[in-house]
Amino acid sequence: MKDQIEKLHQKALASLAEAGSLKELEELRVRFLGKKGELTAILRGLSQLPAEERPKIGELANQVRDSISKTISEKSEELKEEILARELEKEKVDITLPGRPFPVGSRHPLNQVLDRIKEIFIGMGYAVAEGPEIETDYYNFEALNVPADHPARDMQDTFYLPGGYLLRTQTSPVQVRTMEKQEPPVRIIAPGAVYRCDADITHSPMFHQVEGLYVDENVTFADLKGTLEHFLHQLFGKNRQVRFRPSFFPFTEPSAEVDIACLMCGGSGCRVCKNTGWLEILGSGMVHPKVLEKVNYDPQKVGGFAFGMGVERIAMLLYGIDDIRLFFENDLRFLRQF
Amino acid sequence: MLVPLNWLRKYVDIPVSPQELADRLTMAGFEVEEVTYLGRGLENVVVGKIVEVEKHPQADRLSVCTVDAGEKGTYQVVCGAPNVEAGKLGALALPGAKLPSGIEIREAKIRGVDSSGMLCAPDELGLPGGHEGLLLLEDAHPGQELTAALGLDDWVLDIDVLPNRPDCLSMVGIAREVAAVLGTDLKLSEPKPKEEGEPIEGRATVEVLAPDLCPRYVARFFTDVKVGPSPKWMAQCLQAAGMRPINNVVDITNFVMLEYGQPLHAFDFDKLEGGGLIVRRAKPGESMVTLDGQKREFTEEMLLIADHDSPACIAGIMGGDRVEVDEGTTTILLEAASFARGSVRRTSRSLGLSSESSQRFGRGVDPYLPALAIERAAELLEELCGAKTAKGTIDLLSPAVDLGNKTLHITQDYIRRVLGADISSSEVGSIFKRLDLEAAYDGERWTISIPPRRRDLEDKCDLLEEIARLWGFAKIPATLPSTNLQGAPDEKQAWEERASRSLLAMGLTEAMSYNFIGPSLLKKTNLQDTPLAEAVKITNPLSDEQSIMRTTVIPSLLQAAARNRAHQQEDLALFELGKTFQPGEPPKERRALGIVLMGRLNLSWWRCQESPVDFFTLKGVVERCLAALKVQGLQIARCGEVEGQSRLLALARALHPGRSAALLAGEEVVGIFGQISPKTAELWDLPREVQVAELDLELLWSLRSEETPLYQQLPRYPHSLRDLALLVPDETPAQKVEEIICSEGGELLEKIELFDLYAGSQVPAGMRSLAFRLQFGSKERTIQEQEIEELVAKILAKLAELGITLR
Repeated sequence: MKDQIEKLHQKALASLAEAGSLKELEELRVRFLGKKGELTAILRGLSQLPAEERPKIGELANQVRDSISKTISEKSEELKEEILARELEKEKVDITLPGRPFPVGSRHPLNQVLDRIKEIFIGMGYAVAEGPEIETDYYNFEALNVPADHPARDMQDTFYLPGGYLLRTQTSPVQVRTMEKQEPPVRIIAPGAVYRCDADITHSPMFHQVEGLYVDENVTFADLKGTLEHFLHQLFGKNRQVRFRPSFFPFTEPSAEVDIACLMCGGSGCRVCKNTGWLEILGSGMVHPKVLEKVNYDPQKVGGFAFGMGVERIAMLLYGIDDIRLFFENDLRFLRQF
Repeated sequence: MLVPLNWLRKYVDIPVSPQELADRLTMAGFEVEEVTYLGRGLENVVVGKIVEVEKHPQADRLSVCTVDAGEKGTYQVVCGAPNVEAGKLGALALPGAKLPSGIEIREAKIRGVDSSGMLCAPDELGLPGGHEGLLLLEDAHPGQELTAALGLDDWVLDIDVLPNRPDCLSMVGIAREVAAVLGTDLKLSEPKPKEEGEPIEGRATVEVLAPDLCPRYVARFFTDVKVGPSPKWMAQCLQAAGMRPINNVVDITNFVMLEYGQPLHAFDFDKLEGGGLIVRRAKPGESMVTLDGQKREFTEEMLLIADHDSPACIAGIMGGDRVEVDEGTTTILLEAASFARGSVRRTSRSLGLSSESSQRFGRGVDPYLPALAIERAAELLEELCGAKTAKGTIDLLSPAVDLGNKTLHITQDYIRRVLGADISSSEVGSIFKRLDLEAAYDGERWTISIPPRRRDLEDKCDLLEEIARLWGFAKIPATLPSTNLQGAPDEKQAWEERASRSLLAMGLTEAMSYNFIGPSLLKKTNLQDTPLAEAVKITNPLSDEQSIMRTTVIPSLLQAAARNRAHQQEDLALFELGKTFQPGEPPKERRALGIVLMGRLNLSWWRCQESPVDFFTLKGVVERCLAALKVQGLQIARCGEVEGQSRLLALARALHPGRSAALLAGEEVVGIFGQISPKTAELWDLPREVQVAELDLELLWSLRSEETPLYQQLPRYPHSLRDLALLVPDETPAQKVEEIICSEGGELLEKIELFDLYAGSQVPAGMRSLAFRLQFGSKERTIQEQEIEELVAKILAKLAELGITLR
């Protein structure tokens, strides 16, 4: 019987080594270890053995059973690995195929620039104010020290509406409206659309400005310089050169045009800066006492500065856009670029 | 303003290079837009005397010339010009010259004959005069640089003179600025005509009937005038400043205008009826032919200079053809006047007629100037035209005009306080001196006497600007103000940003359109004859397409869709946060949100083809957007079933009646959305399935909830799901079914979702199948099967009343 068991052991191990699938393996398990299997069959003769041999044979049978079981489970693991490996191989994808394109909208480039401008000034303690786009002559001109027949009116070609209204030519009326409503100190920026009868590749009949106003006691021209330098360094980079150049606006005195070193050539002169090396970026100045008087502020006590910039111009310079009309044509091929 | 430096040097010393002068002026508030050397490209061109002309042995049309270029040597040049002639002076381009026309001159053989250099036609030198023949010169000597012979050895600055400085639209004004900026000396002299003629009294008269429009009128009378060409120096000055020489009399008026900024007008006195001039407003229906040959019709507010018969000149703008100075003129009445700037600007604009003169008057010519300028003109007429100046001047000055100096004060403290810079009193004093202003200082306060030429200095803040700009803006420190003011975004703008962010996240791109549109856009959207066609009109639009303020954003968005489609962009999802405008007193401005969807919103790829947008895509976008805006509880209704009228509701005309909806807050329409009508689609040449929406952000702002969401405890017990496929009559809205399920389901019904809709052969006609998934659950316990069965039975019983059964 011992021989029989050992033979069976050898046969089982040999068969298991040959097994090629989990099914075959299961068949072998049934064949050798099952209730009607060969080992059971051999052990059925156990009762005919002398009593003293039985434990020995029993032990041997158990060892063989364990060995076969262990081999089966090892073999089974091995086969499972192989199957998995085959499956994985089959499930392989072409990883260079395009991924799912999720639709993402684009923020309008002008609003992206405006967002940045707002963020910088809010960081400096400015509140954001708004005003109407349909204005009266008073707010757009008179209150800003531009009386009727003033030649400065020719600087801005105005769209007129019936009933004495007009489309504001600048965001500056918001200065006046804010100061009428509020006692000093006032510190605001006022972004918005403005209108002038002028249309070519660098002029749009509707465009956007950001106005700024700071009125308080002891505000100086030096503060104006510091504030605008800080702003321009935030927007165009710390090393961007900034210069202040005397200019004229009816509602500020002294007035300054603010230039930055050309973004294209860095100051050496090119087509974009008309060979001057500089780009005009902001108009600014100390609020004219006459403007303060119009809103019943006392120019002896308070003063301040105001500034204004064109959002389209800044966006055109930042993104290298050469035709202002693109901003309003809503061409997806354009809008998707930003 | 074009400023030739050779001319400018007559009035002021300029010890710096043209470029440095330009930079210094720019930084003092006179922006120089361009610096031009007039002789550019003429470096190797000299005056050559043609000594000998022989026929070219090989070519009939060419000649071989010997040209004497003085100290530069003698050259043999082959020339093809018809007007080449021995004894004449020509422009000789020497080998090595690179001419403005692009021609480079080299030693060459032309048809076998050596030619070193070229005799040039005007166009080859970049000068006016064409290519007909050689440029021939007079008053020049062989070997002289051509630039010197033609007065082109000169630099011209193009200076942007700002509106507050009309005094600087003149050489003298700019000279004063240069003196102030560079600190150099002015060289101005007072003109003194000889006045050798008989007195003016009784020979010519001037009457001003409109002193409000003509505060000063000065005239002088000249006889024995010989009209002819101007001398070379004057012609060169005018040309360099961009004006064309005409004859000595006209040139003198132009020269003095450029010199002093005072436009002058010379009348041929013999052509004037009644021996004098009347300054008056035009009579109804009056007209005149101006110097440019155009007939001009006048209205009554226009100011004319007339003789006793008819108009002779449009005041400050342009003279009449009839009284023009010509070769036969011998007697002149010369005008130097001051006209109200507003009047000149209005007349110039309404006649569409602008001139050097009108531009100066339009910006203001001070009444002090005419008397000065006319003396200078008289001096030149005597010198250059042999004119005799009648003794005396007609000078009609309105009593309202004060020609005296004004006094202004400024303190050192004010300067320091406003500029934030320390500028010493001696520096301030030197600045006033450079500006040629009389100033006295008492240890703190300056007293400055302002002459009429600087009438722009009205207030101490104007003086402050003079000090700051001449001291140098660059020297003023840059400081950041210290303050405790808080910055904040505008609340409403921040609220709108929430909509913007949610739309961007859904894949919509932000658009921005003009706030003005054309009536044709409304018509194309089928909105003519609706309340939306009542728009604020622009009185002076640039074009019909930009003539009214938009009353809705939808036409702008449909235009964007059509334009993109024209560029082969078939898939489009845009939104615009913008304004609409309504007529009124004052006109109203409303913030609006517009949406347009066309083609596919989701992008197709190789795994699946996305279907095109429809009403429900748009509805989803609108719902998500309202959620972002925190607006809840709006009702939806078919536009046709909404009572009353509103501007938004008028948009229904553009939409498909069965595939559009109004959003209601109570009775009020706050938005409208849906598919465009087939008619609108056809008018725009768009596909039928384009979806649009417009929401009124003013109304939604008032409906928003400011509540912060409160945390709800997470469920601790499992929920159960039940699917119900219901046969629903077509006319019963899904919302009705949902409402019944919700009300019968009670609080154990946590969620309901429509997951399938079927209509077709598998269901009876007039019915559709709606499949709902119901989620039951409780916060306190696990609910029992039995409870759910009971609830479902209750729901079905209620639905049965409406003829709705389980499928």
